[in-house]
Amino acid sequence: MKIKSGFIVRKIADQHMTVPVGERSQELHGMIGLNETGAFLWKLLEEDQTEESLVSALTLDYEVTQDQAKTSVQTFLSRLKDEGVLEDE
Amino acid sequence: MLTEDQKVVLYLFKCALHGQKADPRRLKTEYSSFSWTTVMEIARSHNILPVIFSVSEDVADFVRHPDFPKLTRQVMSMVAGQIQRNQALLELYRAFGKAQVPLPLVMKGIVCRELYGDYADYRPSSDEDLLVAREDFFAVAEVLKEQGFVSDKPGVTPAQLEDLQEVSFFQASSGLLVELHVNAIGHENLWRRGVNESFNNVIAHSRVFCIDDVTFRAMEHTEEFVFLTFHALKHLTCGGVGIRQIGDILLYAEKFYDAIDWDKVWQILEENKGSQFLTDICFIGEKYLGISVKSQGSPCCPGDLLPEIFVSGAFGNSTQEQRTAVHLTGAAVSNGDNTWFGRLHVFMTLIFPGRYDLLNMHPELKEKPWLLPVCWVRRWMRFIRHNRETGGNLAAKSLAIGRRRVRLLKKYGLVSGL
Repeated sequence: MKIKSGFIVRKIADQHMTVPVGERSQELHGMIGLNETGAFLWKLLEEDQTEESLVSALTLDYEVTQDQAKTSVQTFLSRLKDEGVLEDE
Repeated sequence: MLTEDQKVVLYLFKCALHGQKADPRRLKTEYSSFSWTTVMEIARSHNILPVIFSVSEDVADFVRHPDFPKLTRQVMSMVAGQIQRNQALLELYRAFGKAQVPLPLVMKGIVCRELYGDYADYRPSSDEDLLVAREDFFAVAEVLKEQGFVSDKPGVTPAQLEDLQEVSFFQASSGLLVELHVNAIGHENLWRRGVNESFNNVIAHSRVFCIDDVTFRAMEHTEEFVFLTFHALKHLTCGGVGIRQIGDILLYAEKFYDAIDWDKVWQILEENKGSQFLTDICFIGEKYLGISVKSQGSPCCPGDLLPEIFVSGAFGNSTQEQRTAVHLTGAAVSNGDNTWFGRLHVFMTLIFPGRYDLLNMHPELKEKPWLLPVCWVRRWMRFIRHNRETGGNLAAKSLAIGRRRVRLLKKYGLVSGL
């Protein structure tokens, strides 16, 4: 799975935002705010990923347990699916 | 005399122009007492809030300030909007390319934004100014309409086009406002008509550049620099000029110094009463913004220009008094004569402006000149309404602002007389 094209990411102060542009701005009004973990996962999802690869990367980079990482990834992916920003599989 | 808050804005803007973050120690030691609220308000009025915020975002005192969370949200929104407008402009130029219409020249806007490097998205542009040859106007307008842009003058005729400065096109989906010009500076008065002559061949001389594989056209560097300078001076003669325009001029000079024909620049500016203005900008750049551009002659009155810049805000829009004072300074420059008779003429022009002066707001006057008295009445009603909204002092305050600016313009040779 990966993020659809047509998003630009910027960091303002300590907050990350993703801005839909072009056709994407017609589907999604407004922008998506991300925390540090969300921005990390979003960056990875610019390439094809699986839930397992995301959990593995999060565990390594953030020194969290496997279970914590899994919960974070599942919550994040669920939100992205709700917003409709993941490419159809 | 600059206030402490204005000095801080200049320091932070200097950091932005050089792609640097603000030094918290320097802010503490060199600036005794300033208000972050006021600094950010000044930045907002000059349309530089995102860059000023971004260079300050690591300063602990600012991060702890109660305004910080609200400002973060506002800046995010402004930057997001600019990103979407940037992309819409790229799409528009892709469409121009596909339709094979002559590419309009971009003036300021994206040309200046690119100068800010990593901060390009943090320099808000409320609109994009495009220049097109008169004979290509309707073909370009057609592409704009196909891309979902709506014109503010949908029925504009070729005859009206001769006298209009610009026609606006707005795309609601992106918020991008395109102003399509058929001449660079306008011809509302003798001075502007003279300046416009300098840009007669810009389309023939234009240069090509690319952003994200999209092809754009712009004036070649000497003409673009002259345009930026005269555009700022044009705004000083009516609404006032903001610090962002000064930054654009200086950054452009610094980046393209070797590509600019400086002898030609000074010659054109001298011929059109712009050289003193640029000399003062160079002085301000060296003293306050860390950009050194060699100028000709001695500074004229940078000590008057800089406070005037701060008071005006971007394009002189900071207050209603400023916006109303536009008419006084514009009339003074149009008249060019500061004698008693000249001032009476200016006053009459304010109350009863000529058809030509109102054409941009009322293009129907081109073909229906008998509507002029109706336009006068509408104008008086707007003034009365604004006067009521501002507590009844609009006339006095606007006159004070106008007189101060006319004195400055006299120093630059744009208004003569005693």
